Formats: sequence, structure tokens, C-alpha cells
Amino acid sequence: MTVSNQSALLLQQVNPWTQLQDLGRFGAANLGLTQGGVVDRTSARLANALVDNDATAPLLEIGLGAVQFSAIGAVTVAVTGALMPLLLNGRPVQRYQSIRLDHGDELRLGYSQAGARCYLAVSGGFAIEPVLGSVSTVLREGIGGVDGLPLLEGSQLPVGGHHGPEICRSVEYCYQFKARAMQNIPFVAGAQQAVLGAPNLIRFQQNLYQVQANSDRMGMRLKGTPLALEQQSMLSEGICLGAIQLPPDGQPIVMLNDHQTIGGYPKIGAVTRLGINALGQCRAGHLLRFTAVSQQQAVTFARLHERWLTALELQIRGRRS
Amino acid sequence: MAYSEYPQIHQAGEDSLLIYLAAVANPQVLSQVQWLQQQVRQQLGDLLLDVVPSYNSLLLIYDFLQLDQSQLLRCIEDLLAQLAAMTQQKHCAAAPESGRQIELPCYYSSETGPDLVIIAKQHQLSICDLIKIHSTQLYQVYAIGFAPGFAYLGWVDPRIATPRLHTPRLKVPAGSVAIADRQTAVYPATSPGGWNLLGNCPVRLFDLQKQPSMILQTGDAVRFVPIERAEYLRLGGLL
Repeated sequence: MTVSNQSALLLQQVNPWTQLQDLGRFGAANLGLTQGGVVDRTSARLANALVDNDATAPLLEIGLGAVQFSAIGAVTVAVTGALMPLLLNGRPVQRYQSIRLDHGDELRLGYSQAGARCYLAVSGGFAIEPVLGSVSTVLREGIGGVDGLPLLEGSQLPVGGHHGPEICRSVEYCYQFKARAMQNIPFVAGAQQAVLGAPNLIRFQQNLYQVQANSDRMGMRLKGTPLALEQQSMLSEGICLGAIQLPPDGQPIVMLNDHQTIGGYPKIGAVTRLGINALGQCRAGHLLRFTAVSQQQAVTFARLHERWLTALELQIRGRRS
Repeated sequence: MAYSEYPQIHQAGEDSLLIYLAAVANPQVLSQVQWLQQQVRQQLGDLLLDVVPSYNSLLLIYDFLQLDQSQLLRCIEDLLAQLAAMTQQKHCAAAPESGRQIELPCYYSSETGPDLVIIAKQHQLSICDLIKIHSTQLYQVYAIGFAPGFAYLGWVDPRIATPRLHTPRLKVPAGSVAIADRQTAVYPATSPGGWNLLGNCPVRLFDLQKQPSMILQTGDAVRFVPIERAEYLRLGGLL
């Protein structure tokens, strides 16, 4: 797979939650293909900015931690997101900066101490052929990444074209991801709120929810005081990212990036994209609360965040240390 | 005229709307969903990130940082008004593409459909009659989902409607033609599944290497054509 002279990253140790991703696969949901893509978009975009890539460049999403890579040829990398201890040839190095690896250098990410997902970007991006416009891996569909399969230890991921910034770039500590003991997650109330009833909408926001261990990229399963639902049958309908499904047991499931495209459970609403970024960093046991926002409020927050992030990306690209 | 509470437009998420065209799903509603899908795609182009038609509804996911929702709502309301006018004049049957009819070959046999014999027995039908009932019905694609390329076809004749298996199979071969209650489908890829298997369709419905990657679209009409073993093998069917 590697061409001579082309740099690559050798996967010395990986786990099933180490996956090639980008911003997602769009336009094929009508064929049953989910959007995939990075769960925490903000962290992923910062990783790509640090190595001077476009926001859409393929990178690695790493869940849990305890993974190790080594450079084949010179590679510039950056790691953002969850707090995973980062070691370069056995010595601690900072996350949120560009790091130049020479041939044979080993980079190790320890178990996450806070947060759920790290993003590892390489300058030039991983040179992986996109499927329907995206390299996003969806293992359930067997699509994207490397032949739709889990990454194999001992294999190499080729790195594309340019060799990245000559100078070290970094993100100030105050802008880095920091885990919170309890997250407040914004959502927009949705189509079946009337069916579910106003009392349920209130109770849903009063409840304290705990992230369950059987959560994955498809859905985040939560547990709190169960909501009382009347039995009802619904025709299956399209599901969007962040949709909060309520199966008959009254315990919500938030649809994450690998969610199924249609389904027949009632939905109380959908978590906003900013809320998904935060959920993407919550691990089993994490406590959550939900707060309804109007669609207009959600748009305002999203625009403000986009302006902040775009400015930060520009600053990173222009920064000298 | 009775008061109609449809169509309805609902918020689904910060960047998505759900449009319900009716309370139930039937071929007319399906062709309206299909028409609406084509129109919004034409009018909004790249501002739409994804469009998911299903039974009686259409989910629109749009680029909410570029497109103002009030503008989107105006566009949808105009289209819904046009649709209402067309439906009154019964023009909707002429909606483009909704007239597509696709024939899929199927080798009905116990070697490709392990539930064929049991289902015939359950409904006190001969295997011949079961095959005839399943293959004479004209189905429509009501939704695509569950897995890439998995098309939900409705409706199966009540005489052969059969509930899902109590315990799903861990491995259903690609191409398996199956029924669950009053729906039928072709498994696009080998996967776990709880539907009752009647036979196998040797034509690959979903192939990412091909353009378009999927033969069927929501709204298409589908009929199964029984084929013999030799024809099945000639078309590339596996045993």
C-alpha cells in the first residue's frame, strides 16, 4: 500500500475504537448509509489545523487509548481531544501542538484520563481512497477506512503529499478540551414531543442521566428515572444525528454518528451539533442533563461557535512559537 | 370536505425538518413523498445534506449555517400547496419517476429459502401457491434503511404474511428474499436477520462499485419473477 518515498504511520498497537474518519459521508442516507464522521468535530478540526490540513482531511479518531504508532519517513502529527498521556520515544510531550516525527520515532497514547476520544492528524492527511465522498469508517456497514474493516496492528497508513508546518504550532491551554464532571447538553424538541406529552418533556430535563457502558458510535445509551410512555406504533421515519429515541423502557438513546438512517421509536428531539461534540467526550458513568433550546437559539450558538473556531483555526495556522 | 390535519411540518433537530404527508402509507402517499423529494432536491441542491424518504414522511437535513430555516419553510410550504392542488386534480400519479417498475428474478427453493416449506405449511398452502402469491403481487419500495440498500417492500398478501423469527439468524446470505409480517425484502449483503427466507435473488441490488450504487429507489414498483435453478446459477446465484 505504501509507495516508496511516501511517508506512513505504522500501527504498532491499535484498538477497535481507532478508526479513520473525516467530517462524514453525506447524500447517501436515502440508500441507508449513515453519515459516520468524527464525533467531536471541534477537536478534530483543531488537530487538522495544527498540521496545516483542510478541515476535511482524513484523520484517526482514537477511543479509550493505549495505542502506539511509529513513523515511516518524516511525519508531522498533532493530537487533540481527550486527555491521553502522550509519549514520544518514551518521553512525555504535549497534546495540542504539531510534533515532527522522524523515521522510526514512536508515539504512544496512554489510557484516557479524562474524555473519551482523541484525534490524531498527520500533515497531508492519510492518503485513503474515499467511498461516496468520505473515508469515514462505518464498521457495521463495512464501508470506508481501509476496505471497511477494523485497522490491523502491523499495517501502515500512507500519508499524503505535503510535510507540514516547519515551525511548531499549538493551541493555548484555555482553548483545549477539558472534561467536566457533569455536562449540560442542549437539544431541540422534536416531532413527537406532543405524543410524548409535556410532562415527559419536563421530566426529561429534570432527570440526571448516566452514560451506559453499552454505548457506541451508533448510539449513546442513558439511564435515569424512566419516562412513562404509552404504547404506540409508528411508521419508520428518517433519523437525524443527535435524535433522542425513547424505546418502550423509557430510557433515552442519543443517536451518534453511526446511527441507523430510519427507525420507528418516538423521539423527544435531537441534541445539537455542539451537544454532540460534548457527548462524544463522555465516557460510561458520566452524568448528563439536557436543556431544551429553540431552533433559533441553536442556530445562534452554532454560528458563534463556528466564528470562534474559524478564528482559532486561522490563528493556529499563522502562529509562530 | 373533511378537515385534514396533513401535511405537517415538524422540527426534527437544529438542522432538520420532518414532513408528514399523511397518517398512513399507501401508493398515493408514497408517490407524493417521492415528488416532494425530487422538488426539494432540485430547488435546494447542495444546501440539502441528506434527504430520507420513508413511508409517509420525508426527513430533510440541511446546511443550517448557510440556509435560513424560514426560507426553507417557505419553499416547502409552496411545494406542499402545489402538491395539494395537483392531488385535487389527480395529477399526482403522473409524478416523474414514480412509474418505474422493476422485475427481480428469484429462485424460490428450500436450498435458497430455508423457511419456504414451513411457511407454506403454516398457511396451509402448497409451495407452488406460496410462490405464486409472493410473485404475483406488485410491491412498492416504502423505505430504504436498516442496512445500506435494504429496501422495505409492501405489501405482502395477508394469506402469506408471517411474523419475524423468534430468534434472528446470525447469518442470512446476500440476495435472500424474505418476508416479515406484510413486508418483503431482499437482503443486500450477508448479515444477521430475523425475516423468513423464501428464496434468493441473484441480482446484486447494492454495489458501491457501480453508478448508481442502488437499483431501487423509494417509490419504485417491484415484482419478483420465479426462475429455475439453472437460470439462477447462470445469473451468478450462489448455493
